[in-house]
Amino acid sequence: MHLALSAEQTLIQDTARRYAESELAPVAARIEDPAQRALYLRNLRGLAELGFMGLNVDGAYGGTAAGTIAFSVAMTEIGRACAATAVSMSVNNLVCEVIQSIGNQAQKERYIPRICSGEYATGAFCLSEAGAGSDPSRMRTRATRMADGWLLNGTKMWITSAEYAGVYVVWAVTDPTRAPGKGISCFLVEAGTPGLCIGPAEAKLGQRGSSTNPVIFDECRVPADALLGHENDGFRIAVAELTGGRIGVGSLALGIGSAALDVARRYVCEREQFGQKIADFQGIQWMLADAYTEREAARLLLMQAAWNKDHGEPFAKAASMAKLYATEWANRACYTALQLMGGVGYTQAYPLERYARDARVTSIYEGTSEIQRVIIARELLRELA
Amino acid sequence: MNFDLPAELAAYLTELDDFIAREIKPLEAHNDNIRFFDHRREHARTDWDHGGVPRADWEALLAETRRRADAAGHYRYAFPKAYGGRDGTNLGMAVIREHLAAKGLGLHCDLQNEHAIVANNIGLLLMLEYGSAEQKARWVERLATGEGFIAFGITEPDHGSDATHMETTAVRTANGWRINGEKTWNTGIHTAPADLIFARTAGQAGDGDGITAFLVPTDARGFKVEEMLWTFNMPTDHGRISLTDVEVPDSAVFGGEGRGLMVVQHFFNENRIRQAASSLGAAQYCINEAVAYARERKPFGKPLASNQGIQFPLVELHTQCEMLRALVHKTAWMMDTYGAFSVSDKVSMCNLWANRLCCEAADRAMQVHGGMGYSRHKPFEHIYRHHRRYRITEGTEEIQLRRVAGYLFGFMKQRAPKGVVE
Repeated sequence: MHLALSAEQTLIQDTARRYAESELAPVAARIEDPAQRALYLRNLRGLAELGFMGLNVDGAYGGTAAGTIAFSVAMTEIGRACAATAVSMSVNNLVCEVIQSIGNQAQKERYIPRICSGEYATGAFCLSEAGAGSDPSRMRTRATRMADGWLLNGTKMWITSAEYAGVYVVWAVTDPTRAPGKGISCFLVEAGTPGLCIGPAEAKLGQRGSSTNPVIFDECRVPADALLGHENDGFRIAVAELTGGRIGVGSLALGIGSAALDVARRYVCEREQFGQKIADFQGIQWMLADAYTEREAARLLLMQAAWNKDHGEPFAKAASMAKLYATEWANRACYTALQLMGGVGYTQAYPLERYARDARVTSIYEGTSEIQRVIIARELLRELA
Repeated sequence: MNFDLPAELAAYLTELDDFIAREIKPLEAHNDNIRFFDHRREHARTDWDHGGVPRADWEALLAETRRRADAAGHYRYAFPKAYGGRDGTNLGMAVIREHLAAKGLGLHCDLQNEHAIVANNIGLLLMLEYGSAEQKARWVERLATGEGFIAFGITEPDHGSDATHMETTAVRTANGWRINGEKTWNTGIHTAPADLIFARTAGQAGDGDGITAFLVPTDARGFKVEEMLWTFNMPTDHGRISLTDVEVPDSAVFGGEGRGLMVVQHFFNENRIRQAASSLGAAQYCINEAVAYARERKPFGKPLASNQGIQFPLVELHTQCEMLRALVHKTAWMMDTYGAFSVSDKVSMCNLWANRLCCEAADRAMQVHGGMGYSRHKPFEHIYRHHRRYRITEGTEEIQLRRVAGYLFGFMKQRAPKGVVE
């Protein structure tokens, strides 16, 4: 049993915290305005320079090879300052890891260094569709084999960073005669490929600095070597890789909730009502005690999942538990923090209202809380089978 | 819209309080009878060496209480006037059950035994509704006085929530029926002269129709009490029984051949709302006691009640009691106005919430009282243990949720739960 971070992990955490506090937090409110896109892309370049876009990626491809625990603690620090920036970091790491895990040598050498270095502002992960969210096996996007490659047709939804991605990992049905999920393959599509169209950005409750768009494939031709992994094996890959993404999103949520509580904790120590600091009311104290206790539980669940992944242990159940708990906790923490701060917390005078908006999607994307429960229950029952 | 209790009901509560003060409290104080309620209660009530069933002196005291309540004209409140009752309503019963339970432990109301000075005599109500002329002649008076009791045998070792999958069967013989099977959690079986046994007589496992209820004498050949099931809260009056080639005449059929599930549903609907009202009363009692204690107790030189950490959880519980009271009253009123099966979903909502709430209130009362709360010198551990049972019996919480979901999502028909004919 050893619960302390290593020297390297601590260094990465400190580096992330310093960058987040000095560069990200000051602009986090401004980048909510889409007109400030340049500022947002500057954030992403900064993260790439720090080596944060491939934290769990081999050094041979420009990654940092620091492991999942380092990835998790860095995500939390970045998420604490700016969730909209952190979500791109999470997706980039996910895309790099997918390519590293199933790509051929040429694909790894071509794409991973470009994402890690910041040459590509981001990668994109194109799985969801309008009619295939929690159940991606029912996707409709088709890839038809041609003499010299593949022809893609269909529309993907909720694609993070679609407007400025350099490469898109795209899932499409290659054999519609097979059962759902059994005839899906995965492709790498480069930005600028004819027939690849980016739809208008969604107007969202939170994480507004990050662009979320439909991505339309309209007679989009890609070469034969765009196939990532084996034909008809794509769905299994998506499911496996999303598991790692869940640690990222859980860590991100941990950062948002922590930021919210820290603001509120400082506030209750200053605010006076009824002739005393409101922190002297037991009702207030116990809200803080509960919220910070649950925070530690969320953090340890994330550490457990990350440790399992780094040590080659099964981690699907642990990752889902951590994602479920951390993201639901983040929402509760924002609710509690708003309650602690009263009316002023509800205004834009403090970053809390943004944290509350940013937290909400974490229990929806990368698998809703309900889907996490489905996975957890399935694993629990499988253990006995 | 008027939220006042009906004037005659409010007046009746006062009448009951007078009766309790005059005739029940003295009996409780007499001859160390308080041993059945103070810290010695579990030991005083339990015949540990005979299956853990209630001791004879305890049941005799309950019987004497019932006799006094009947003589004073209270015991039969819920029954029709023709049978010496007062035509009591579901609303009246709910209000009375809550009122009695809110007084805490005592001879006026002992939920562990389904005992109260105002009877929750579902057996009699079912007899009046479904009994044949011959069955009524035999049973009504005995049930009305509380001297006779019919146990209820639906659950089986392998079939609890899925009662319609029961394996007990009854087949026709030349003279009547032959029953084979096993039943468990038959409450009151240690003394009951008869057990209402539900057996499949037609149809398939899972069907609502084809289950028939039989009034089976517990001394019938082939009827055996196998064991009493020891529970969280002792004594136990819950037994597991077996039926081996038990022969009963055709006249033992209760409520019509193949129509047994309707009897069950009726039983559950009426019982669940009363159980909910009792749990609500007990919850309120726990809150009231905790509030009083918090005002008295002065750790660190100031009343415990001045801590918000003490106040707020009790406020949450008290708020839930207020909300639940409104729902219980409304639901009981609707049952009276539109029929027992008109609001099955709301009955389930009341039941689900009330039983949980009581457990939470008892738990909180223990916490506020500290070490004394945990001791048997306070009643909360007993209340917790009893009401914990209610979260399982008369349909588990999950079954209540399933029923509400059934109506909410359109899988079930409100006026026609499984086996009930509109």
